[in-house]
Amino acid sequence: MLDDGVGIAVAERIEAAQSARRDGSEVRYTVCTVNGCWESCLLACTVKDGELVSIDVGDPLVESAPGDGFDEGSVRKGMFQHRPCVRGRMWRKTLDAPTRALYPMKNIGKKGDPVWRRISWDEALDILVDKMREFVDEYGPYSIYTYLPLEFEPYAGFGFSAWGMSSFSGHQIADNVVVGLDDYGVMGGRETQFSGTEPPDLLNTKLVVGIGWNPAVTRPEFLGPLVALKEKGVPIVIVDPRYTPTARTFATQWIPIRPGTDDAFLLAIADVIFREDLVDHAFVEAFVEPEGLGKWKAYVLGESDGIEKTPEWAEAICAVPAETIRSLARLYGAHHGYSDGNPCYFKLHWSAARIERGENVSRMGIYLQALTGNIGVPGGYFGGGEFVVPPFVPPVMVNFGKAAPSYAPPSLMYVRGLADAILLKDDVKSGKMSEAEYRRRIGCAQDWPLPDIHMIFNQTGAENGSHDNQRLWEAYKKCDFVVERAYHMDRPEVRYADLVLPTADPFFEDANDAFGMGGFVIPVLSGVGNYGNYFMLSQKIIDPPGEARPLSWINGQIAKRLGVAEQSHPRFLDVMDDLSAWNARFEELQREAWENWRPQYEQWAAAMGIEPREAPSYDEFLEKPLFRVPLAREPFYAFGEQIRGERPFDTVSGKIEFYSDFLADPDMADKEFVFPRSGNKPGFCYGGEKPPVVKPMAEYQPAPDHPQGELAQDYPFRMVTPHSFFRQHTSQDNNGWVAEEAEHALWMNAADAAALDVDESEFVRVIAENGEAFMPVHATEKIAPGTVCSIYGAWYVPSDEKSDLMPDGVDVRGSANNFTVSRHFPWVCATSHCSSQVRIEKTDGGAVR
Amino acid sequence: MTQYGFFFDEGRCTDCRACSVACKDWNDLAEGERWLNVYSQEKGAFPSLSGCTTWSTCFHCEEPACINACPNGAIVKEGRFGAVLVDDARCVGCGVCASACPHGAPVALSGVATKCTMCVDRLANDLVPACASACPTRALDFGPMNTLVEKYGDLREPANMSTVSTKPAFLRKDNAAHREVVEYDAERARELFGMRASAYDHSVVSNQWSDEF
Repeated sequence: MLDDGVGIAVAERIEAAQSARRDGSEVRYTVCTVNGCWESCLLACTVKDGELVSIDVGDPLVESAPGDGFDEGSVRKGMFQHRPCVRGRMWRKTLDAPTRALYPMKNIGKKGDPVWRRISWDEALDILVDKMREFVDEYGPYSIYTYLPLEFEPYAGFGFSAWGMSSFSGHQIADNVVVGLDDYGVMGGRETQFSGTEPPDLLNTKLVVGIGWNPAVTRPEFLGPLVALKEKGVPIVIVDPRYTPTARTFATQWIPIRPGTDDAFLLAIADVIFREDLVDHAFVEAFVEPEGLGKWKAYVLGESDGIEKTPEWAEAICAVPAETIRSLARLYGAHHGYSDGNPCYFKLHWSAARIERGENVSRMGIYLQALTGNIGVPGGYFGGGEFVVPPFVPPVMVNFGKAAPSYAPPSLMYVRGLADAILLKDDVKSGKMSEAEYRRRIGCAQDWPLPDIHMIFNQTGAENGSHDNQRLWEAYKKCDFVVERAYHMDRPEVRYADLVLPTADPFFEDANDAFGMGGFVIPVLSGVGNYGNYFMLSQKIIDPPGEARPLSWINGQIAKRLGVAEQSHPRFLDVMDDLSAWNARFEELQREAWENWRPQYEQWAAAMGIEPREAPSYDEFLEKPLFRVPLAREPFYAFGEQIRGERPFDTVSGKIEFYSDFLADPDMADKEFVFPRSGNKPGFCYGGEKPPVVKPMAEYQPAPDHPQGELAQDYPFRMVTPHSFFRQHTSQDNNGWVAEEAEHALWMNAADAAALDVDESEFVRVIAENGEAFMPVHATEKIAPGTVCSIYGAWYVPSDEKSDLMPDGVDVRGSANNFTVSRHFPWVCATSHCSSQVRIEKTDGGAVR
Repeated sequence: MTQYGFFFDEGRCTDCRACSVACKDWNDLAEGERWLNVYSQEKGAFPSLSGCTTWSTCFHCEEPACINACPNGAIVKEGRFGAVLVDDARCVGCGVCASACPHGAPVALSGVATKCTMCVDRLANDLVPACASACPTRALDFGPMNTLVEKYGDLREPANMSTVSTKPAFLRKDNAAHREVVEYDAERARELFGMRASAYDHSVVSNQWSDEF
């Protein structure tokens, strides 16, 4: 059958057909940045006639074979090809979806039930700016909410920002009081410490214990080290309510746990470590404040409350058998990174702290790493909310030439306080709620001005990705004027807008980069823990469809109308009204930035002995805009400086503190939570509840929604909402290719499904205290009994069935944030609750797939 | 002719579907047209689980069932890489190839069968197939079969593949089994999770859908 002539002719016809698709095309490069992963990859995009034909790996590093590149040596040096994940590969279907927002649209119906009329950009911008002026004139500068301050605000004199990095939840308070790190300050550039792990540091570890950690899905920058660790036989223990892709592919052993009970699990581990003296004494003596440690030890051993936190005590709560807890504690306790050089990467991940009372479990994660001497050592992990790594290669910075700001948008409320800020205003006005209570609810300190929100100007995605969605939609409907910048018209947020501005996709259709830094993407500064040895350029490779416009242009037009463009956009004044020239101006600034960077780089390379000594020309760089040098430093890990004795921990004692005198203050409830050190850190939280509920040291403190608590009587299933391979937060939910690969469903343990008499694919009603949805069931063994899972990121799609909980319609897609609440945030820091209790009811509906 | 083929390392595959989406993108596949299949099967019962991830595309077999089955001689094996290709000039879309293939490769949707082409267009430009170049964990390798066998060992035709041998140009390395790093009493765990011993069907098999959505 092998007929060379015919076979080759057929092959050539196939080649010709594929070539024809690409005839006259060119390859352009852009960056997919932090797109649900924390990686950062160059994309090679074939563009023909202004359209994206296909996406390929852009990283120019040539590996010997497609299966190569993850050998330990290459990973350690950061010299491997950064390959886009499935989210990066699917962009074409999202960009050319028929639902793209193409024109400015005015809602001539009502919010929640819109009727759209197309208007011009001039009209849209005039309406927008007139409304801004109107509200500021009548209600003051804090009447406009923009989520993050926009470019014109520091000159226009209005607007405010919301504090809090809700990703960290309980970690924020833990990191502050235990090790003296202000996570939110890291974001704001006020911190001098970095708390991330540069991925190759993982290669130094001897044991991995991941709790609620799913890097296969959410941390592709750790894939190289994970593959290397697995293949050289380092034990990887994954503790998770689900048998995740990380459990399936990388775990030596998976240990299921009841979600929301990691605190009991960790306390029992501590009990064994104390009882059997598995403490790294040299570390503890050098770096742990002893009085606080003594108090916590007494608590764990039952000396202070009469309850020893034994594995037997814990197993009834967390459903991990006592002997397993004991064995794991002994194995872990045999890994003293500081004294014995055999560190353990004990990774209590963000998900475990995204619960009510998450400040307890997050502190325990740090305590355990302190007890075992695994903080601030290679291959260890500090135990808290890791975040960013210092750059290795000097970054390129675009100079926008902005004037010094004349107005600093103040922090006025907690970033997830928007719904309450709007909905409780009337209660304060009528006297039904005291101002003090209102301030507590929204996170506005006593001496801060109050926000008085009448207008929201936001980017779609923030809301569907926020907890307690129904309450948010209620707030939107109540707000006088809502403007959404949107990529797609079928986003749930669009339904609640008065005005929609079609926005150019930041990765492909915008000459700026997604973070607005001017185009250069520095992975370590945009990621949680990334390689510091490379950076890339994000470029505009296609025009946005219809009349969609880049965010920077929208901001510029607003600045112009407000009369502040000379200050906010001085280097764009002559190109304000020519979009093509506007985009080209970025390219000029990028070239200029590169020329400024070259001598800085060369000086650095000479001092460090790094090759290449000579920086490439900008045109050379542009051919494949990724610049990389081998990572010639010890991979970064947090708190190395402290362990090497170069600086103390930024706590009152200068050491790791198990007990916080600041939190022990009986007047804590009335205090503005200011990190208790240095005196120059701004307050970012309003401590609220009376009596204070945040304990001075981590304790077992079951939250009202504990899976074995009172709420669970009526809502017996624990709902978890982890991230997806396919969505960055809530983006890409409408991508057609994804719908062919995956289907959104409610995971349920097969035994639970059988007990409810529910079949695979059968629709059930999922009911939380604050929202409900119809979802098809996926009956599986891969989830703990008593747990259900709606993978985060699905968009709220209202059905015709209205209910008290869902006046706009019960969700038929199962958006995770129908089920999440936000009652915890008043008393400490920013929190994000990603799990809740639900009940499941059968419906009359049959299988619908 | 040098026979080229794929190597799949189940121990690195997370079932992320980057390969499948890369294939759809590169080849501009129509809705519902799928040349690459990845799916994971659950094995065991909670909490004693393992997974089995299957990756399959056209394996460009040395004894292709599709070529034997095609009534119109519309499938050929070309002579440079050993790629098995549909000749769209002769194919009438009868779909017999799709039934004959034990790996589910040919797709007969709309008048003409289509399937993985081994990305011969990319091979002609010194690029590897889109799927292999895309895999973020390097679970896929590609090259001359002899080279792959030398690199990975002769991992052809593992037990869970079809018993009808079409001599696929494919090597598969199974994932290592989980093992106890610490002791774990599964029965005790089931008790703690409140599982009553009940008769229900444990043999739940994941279908094509990725769970992670």
